[in-house]
Amino acid sequence: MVLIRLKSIFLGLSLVLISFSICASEKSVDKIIESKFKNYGDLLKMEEIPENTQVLLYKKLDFILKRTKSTKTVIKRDEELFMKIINKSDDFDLDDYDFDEVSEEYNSLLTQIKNEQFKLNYYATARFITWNYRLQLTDQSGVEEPLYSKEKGLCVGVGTTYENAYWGMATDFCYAYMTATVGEDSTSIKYNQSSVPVDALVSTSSVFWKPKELVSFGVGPLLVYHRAEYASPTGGSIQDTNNFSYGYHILASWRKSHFKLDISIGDLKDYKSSIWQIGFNYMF
Amino acid sequence: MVTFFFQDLWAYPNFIGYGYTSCMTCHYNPYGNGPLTDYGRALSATAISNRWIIHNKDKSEEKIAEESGFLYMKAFNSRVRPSVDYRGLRYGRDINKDEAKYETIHMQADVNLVIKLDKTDKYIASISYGYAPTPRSQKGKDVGNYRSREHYIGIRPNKNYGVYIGMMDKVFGIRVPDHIAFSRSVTGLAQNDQTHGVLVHLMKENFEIGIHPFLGNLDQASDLRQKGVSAKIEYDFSNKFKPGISILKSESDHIKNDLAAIHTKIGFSKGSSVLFELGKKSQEIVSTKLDTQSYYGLLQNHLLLNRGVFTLFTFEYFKPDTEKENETFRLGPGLQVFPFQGVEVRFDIYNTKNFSDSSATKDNWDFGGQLHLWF
Repeated sequence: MVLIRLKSIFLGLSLVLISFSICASEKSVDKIIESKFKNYGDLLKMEEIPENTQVLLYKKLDFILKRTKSTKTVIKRDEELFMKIINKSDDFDLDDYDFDEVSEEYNSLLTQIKNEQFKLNYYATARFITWNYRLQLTDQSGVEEPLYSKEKGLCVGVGTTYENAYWGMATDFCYAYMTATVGEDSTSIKYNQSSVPVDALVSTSSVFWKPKELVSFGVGPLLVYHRAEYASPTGGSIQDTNNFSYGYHILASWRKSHFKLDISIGDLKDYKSSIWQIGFNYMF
Repeated sequence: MVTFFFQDLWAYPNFIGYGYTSCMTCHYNPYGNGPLTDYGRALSATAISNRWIIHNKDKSEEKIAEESGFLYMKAFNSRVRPSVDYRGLRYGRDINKDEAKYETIHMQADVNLVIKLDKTDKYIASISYGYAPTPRSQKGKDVGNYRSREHYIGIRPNKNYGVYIGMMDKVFGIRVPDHIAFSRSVTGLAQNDQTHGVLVHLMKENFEIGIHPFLGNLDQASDLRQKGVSAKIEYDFSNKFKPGISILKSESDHIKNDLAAIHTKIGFSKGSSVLFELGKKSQEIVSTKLDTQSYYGLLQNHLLLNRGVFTLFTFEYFKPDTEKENETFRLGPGLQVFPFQGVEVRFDIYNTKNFSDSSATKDNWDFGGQLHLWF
């Protein structure tokens, strides 16, 4: 037990020492550059850089690379300086220092870090939406009959995504203005009505996987509030015109520039069919 | 009401996702369909299909490409390219209803032969002959189940233009493999609608143009033959974006057809794509002068999950008569797998919603499982 604890202490101390030595060395490189050339900017403006200073620049690149690797953070100032040194390194002539190799490693590290970074985005959405809604018709003798209300329309709203290059989450709210055709021959009442105005609020959320940078495949919950004003049949009534329901959906998305095409199919509790949403998102 | 009917897989315009904007890269017919060129076979073996089951890990892609010929052999000479095709379908119609129906159909069993009169595919003769099931509309009639769906000679002096004379599909719209798609079925461009004619194909400065005067299917009674012309113009804005327009005008002694469509193919990342087509059809019954105008739309997305594995979503719209309120929407998620060269397995589910102003009906749910073998 004591041995394990000692081992941990040594390990911790070693890490501190390594970090300190890296920082110290980097500081010493910075000091030399600043004392001789004021700053890196002035140095890199020089037409010819002495060989021993080229070695210092290589070391600086190496420090930036190691720091980026250990912190997994891209520091803008480091990135700019790195690129400036690499651009200048085309004029260098050092056989034992491979600037291209460091550059390649740094760039691939940057790509990896940036791909893993989550970003918050907002979008506007306009989509075609359709479902079969469930209604209950009660005739004058009190017999209840189910009715279909086939509804379709446009849903407009806003949403947000939190995503990196591999996966993400999205949620949005949209207001749907729809029209419905409702009807079914009942035992005692023949009821049919077309072009019934329907309002709905739809919340669509998803967790999505991005097999490729511009395409994604997701699944998530749906929440829908439905309201419509169906005319009551003679001698009867219609129930459930207002309803709150929930369900799930799967979706596939394709993105080009600021535009994203979504196709989603899902199921809602108590509804009589699938729910489809097909439309475009504009990513801000 | 629109019912589920079998589909056939021929051309794959979604391969714009790989940067292939023209069908001519892989097919002898410049608008796809029918036998694959040597390059097309190699590409299907090394990029499109996975290498599961029949290839071990150590086998190089070059070796797989080399052995992508007839029955996994190397090409045995430079002039003759035989191939065989089989397509079978197991489908269920109205699977959500009590009267669900299930059926297995052998859609196609063809022997294909391409004879190359030179080594560079400048002069070719192509024929496909084999089994075709009796169309549903002809059930009970003796229509002959063995026939040629395609035979033509092709003359292509250079990459820029070619002339193809014989029986082939009409040039119009995006030739998606799903022949139940409204863009193929309501336009009269489905799996049994080939015609005899002359196709002139031009490719210049990012334009791809096809002009196809035709005489109808000469095997049909002369009064039924649809004679006319179709044309398609597309422009490559890049190797991932190719919009175009198509027109078709034809008539028989009984029916006159006018079609027009705009369409586009867009590639996303590697292998994924979106296909879009919006079209209008005007049909006149000659004897009654009754004119009907209809609209259709197709939006089909492929998403490449892994080499040889795609998911797809197909969204379709059809308004059979602009003067009536009836509309049909269809949405179908599907899975398409090419486990190795020569084998394709596809599963599709179709959810169809019919809208009218006089009734509210239950959705239709259908499924199709398809096996396609080509060697």
